Amino acid sequence: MTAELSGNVSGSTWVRHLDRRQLASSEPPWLLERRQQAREAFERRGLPTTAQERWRFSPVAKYADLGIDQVEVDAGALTSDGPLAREGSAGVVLRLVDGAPVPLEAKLPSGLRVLSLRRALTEIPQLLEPHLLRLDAWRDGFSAANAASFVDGWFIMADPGKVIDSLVTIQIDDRPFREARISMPRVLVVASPASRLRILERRQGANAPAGQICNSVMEMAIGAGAELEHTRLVARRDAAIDIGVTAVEVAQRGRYHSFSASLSGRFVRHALEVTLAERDAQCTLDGLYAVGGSDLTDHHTLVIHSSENGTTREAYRGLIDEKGQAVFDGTIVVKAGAQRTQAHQENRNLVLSPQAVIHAKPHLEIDADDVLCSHGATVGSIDANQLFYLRSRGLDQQLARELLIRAFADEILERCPIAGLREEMKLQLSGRRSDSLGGKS
Amino acid sequence: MLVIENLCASIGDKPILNGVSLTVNPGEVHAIMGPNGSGKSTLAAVLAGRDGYTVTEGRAIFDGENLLALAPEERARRGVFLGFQYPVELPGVSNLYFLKAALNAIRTHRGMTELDAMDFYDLAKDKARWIGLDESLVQRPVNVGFSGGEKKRNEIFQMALLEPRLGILDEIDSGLDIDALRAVADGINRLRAPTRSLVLITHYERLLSLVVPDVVHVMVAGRFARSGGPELAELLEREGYAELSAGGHVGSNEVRP
Repeated sequence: MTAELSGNVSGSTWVRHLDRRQLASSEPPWLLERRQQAREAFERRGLPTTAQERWRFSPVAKYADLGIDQVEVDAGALTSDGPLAREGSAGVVLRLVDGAPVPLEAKLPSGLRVLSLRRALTEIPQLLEPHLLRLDAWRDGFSAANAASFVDGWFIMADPGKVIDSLVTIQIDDRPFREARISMPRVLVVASPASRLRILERRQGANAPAGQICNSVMEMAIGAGAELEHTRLVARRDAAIDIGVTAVEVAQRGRYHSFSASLSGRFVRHALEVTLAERDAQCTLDGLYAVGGSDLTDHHTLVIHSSENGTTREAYRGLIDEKGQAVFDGTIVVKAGAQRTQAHQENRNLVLSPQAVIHAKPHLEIDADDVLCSHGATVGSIDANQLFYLRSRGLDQQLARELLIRAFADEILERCPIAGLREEMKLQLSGRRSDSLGGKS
Repeated sequence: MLVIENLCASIGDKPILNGVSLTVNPGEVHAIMGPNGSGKSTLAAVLAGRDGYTVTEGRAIFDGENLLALAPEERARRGVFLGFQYPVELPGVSNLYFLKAALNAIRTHRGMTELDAMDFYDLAKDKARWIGLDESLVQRPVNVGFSGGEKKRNEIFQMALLEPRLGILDEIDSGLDIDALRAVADGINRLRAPTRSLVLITHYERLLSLVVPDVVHVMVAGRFARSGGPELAELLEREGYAELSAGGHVGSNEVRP
């Protein structure tokens, strides 16, 4: 079914664009070399089809024309219209519009560096070289395409030993265009040893036309004893395709906390890949997805324990309604020698309509013997006993149902580290549900 | 208040209730005893409106209204309360929020104004104290991590708060140690009122020595085999149900006190 979209025609269009990027660039040799490797990875993998295991249940070609032309974006050509970056009670707010960083005019807290990737590559390439295009393994053609062809992005770094209390928000936006196209947002985050940094990534596009692809890659390096808190919200109001890879590497005693929520969007995919590269590293991965309409949401997580005494605690929950489709694919790999690993993964899904579909696949690969690992996935509908209990006290069926759905989501939302965002997400969830309830009654 | 006539109900093809008749007047406390599987809990479930049961014959009239035609929440709003044998855990749903929604649904039905969060909180604290429920449990998710005794006390607390006209308590005494049983029985006694009727479903006589009923019914094979005063409970405690099951009492469709 996807044969005509599986590679050659649309793939070659993409490659032509990759060529143009390289001709235009004047980048350090190490970066050119990595871009060339990414390009080769892209050519090997091609664009995803359902024949690839990682995309088996996510037929992206049904949602977007993958043969589209990419619109050239000159980062310097964007003009500032209004307050583009500000530091106030909301912290530092950065924007990426069509993958281009909007110029920043803000007083930054001490110890925090924020530069466009292009500027950072000119001024401080030595700080980027260990990480840029190194953390992401290009498991998908999309992220390889981003690596080969991105023009610019943000570089965010906490200096060694600095605790940055201000929240750094990255807001990913699109400009309205008539023709479908693809944007390649890219961000490199470095939490230097013993630093602490808090990132909020918001993707709430409202402008993009149907079929447009937002293809983003976040690389995050967490140094020894450093802590990075990464909250990610996808709540698109337009019909764009939202595809993202977050690739994280955690050094000794480093800690990574992810909260990834996908609350709306035609086709939303987040591949989160964490390598606990050195001993005593930790990560917590929490997530919530809510899917309705005929939308599709796909969360792939991969945690690689490659050293001793690492811990992973992962909990994702999903609400799947109407004709929505959701994919949760979570893999934890414990390499030989990663002794005393503790890893626990849980995925729970609440299916709210007979047409809703969930593909849940928790997965452990363990090559060490002294480990404590568990995983589990549940798929169910609303519990009849709980529903009757509430109704027997006088709550009507609709309210009782609503209360149980909200409670299910709230237990995960409570783990979102940003209180204001928690409330915003609760509101969005209940608003969305009352819309769909209103449609039915 | 409640008139049940020849009620027959089944689960799937299996008949469970085979002609139950019962009249409960305002202020009366009725006890329904009987062996496992005799249909006691089914009667409670059918009266409260739980899914999965088919009423094949008979009727149940509550204050002149056909109870069986109403949704569970409509029965609750008219004043029917079911105390659960196994109170359900509701992770993430706070007792306070849930009971405020419940009480306000009932108040709205009665033409009363809704209580706001503050007024409700004060009321809930008072009732918890009155019934002897630890106040911290009121704030917690419904029944999550509660001990067996706390769950049952929470049922009594809910009944105190919702002030039903008819309380049907399904094995409220099961799984309780003697102290918890006493506390639950005290709560029930406090809730006895001239306008409130109670139906206690139980296996054992011990609850009935603490909450003395007006009428005791013995259910066997889906109907009342015998009815009488409180002394019937003591008789059963001494002699067991075997006598009754084997005896000739079963078969009469209607046994009235």
